[in-house]
Amino acid sequence: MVTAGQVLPWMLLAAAAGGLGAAARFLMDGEIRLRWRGALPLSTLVINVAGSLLLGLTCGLVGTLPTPSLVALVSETTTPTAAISSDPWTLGVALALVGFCGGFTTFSTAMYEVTQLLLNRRTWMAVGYWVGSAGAAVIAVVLGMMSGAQL
Amino acid sequence: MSADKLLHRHWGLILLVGLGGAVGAGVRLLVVEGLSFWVGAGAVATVLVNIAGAFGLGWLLQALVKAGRHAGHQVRLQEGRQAGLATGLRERHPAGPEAGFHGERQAVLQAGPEGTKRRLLRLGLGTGFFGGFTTYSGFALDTVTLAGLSPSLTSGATAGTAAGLGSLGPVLSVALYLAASLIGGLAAALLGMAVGAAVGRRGSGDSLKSADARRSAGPMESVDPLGSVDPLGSGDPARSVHADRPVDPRVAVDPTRGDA
Repeated sequence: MVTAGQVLPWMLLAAAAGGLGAAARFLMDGEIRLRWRGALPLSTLVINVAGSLLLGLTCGLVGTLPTPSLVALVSETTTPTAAISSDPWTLGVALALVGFCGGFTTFSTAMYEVTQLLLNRRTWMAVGYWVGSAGAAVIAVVLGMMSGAQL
Repeated sequence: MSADKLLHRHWGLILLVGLGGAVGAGVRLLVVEGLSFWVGAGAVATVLVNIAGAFGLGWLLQALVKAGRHAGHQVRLQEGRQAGLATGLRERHPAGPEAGFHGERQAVLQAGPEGTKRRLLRLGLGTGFFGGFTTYSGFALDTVTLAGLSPSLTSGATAGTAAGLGSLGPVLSVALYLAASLIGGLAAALLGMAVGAAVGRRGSGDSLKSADARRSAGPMESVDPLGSVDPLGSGDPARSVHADRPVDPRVAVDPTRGDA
């Protein structure tokens, strides 16, 4: 049985890393926008794909899938993820990276940008961005996993 | 270079976005934890969080545009009287697709006196909170997980079930998950914008029941969600430039033509 006291510190760590990710996204987005004037929302695309790559890499390095549930992650149960809970440093670094990627990437902005492309009558670009972002992010996760598993 | 393009280099604003993002990520973790417990499916939790966040961001940004539209109108009306000059705005709703995403961004010039408040709301709540609350990498990872791929192939057999939709099989799970996320997310963003536009109009009271609200071409407008350019002080330039005489808002006002 896992108590709240066991989970809370990890949750705070992941949330703080998420805040760092959000700040990094703000900075990176602004820098990309200074250099890219095209109609495609390239900055969000780059951010989401890069974050997905990092998340896949983290999973590959740790060697397990981080379940969304921290309780399952921290508890010494029979889940496949229990293996990393024995080492607090590995767990901490993995959670910080997962939290960072979660805050760095953003689904809501991507969807909002699709609406803006649609409203600006860039229909095909909207559809391409909408579906293409998802495809690129999924491929990035898989590539990250494969790379991480090799390291 | 406009100072609005360099907002992301302002340490205070970076901190604000970081704080909003930490709160958003924390709330997401709590929600996912709770939903994983009740629903037993982490992927379902991520979908719901992302859809809710897309709705919230659409609502927020549209409501801020509504508010900024009104304030910007008031400001430029005053300035127009004082200086009798155009403020260098472009028409925000060009008729054709040739003026695109960034073209509309450039339409924004100045934030009114309330611009700071709306800017902080947009960055802290929009870029920070909703940006950190929703997660694209989590969405991508869930898709990969549902497909049955796993970094350590020994646990690959449990990958589908670990995400909670295993009984459907990998292909159907992935298809359902992608459709729910992408269609649901886009629909939620549009719905949020519609609600934000409607509520903003009502909430602004008497002043917005003027020609402002009636003459707007549509309920939705562009705003830059991530923050390089401040969209919040923007209004209808046709009205502000020639505030004292009737103007067809569909006609573009191009300051470079010496129109004013």
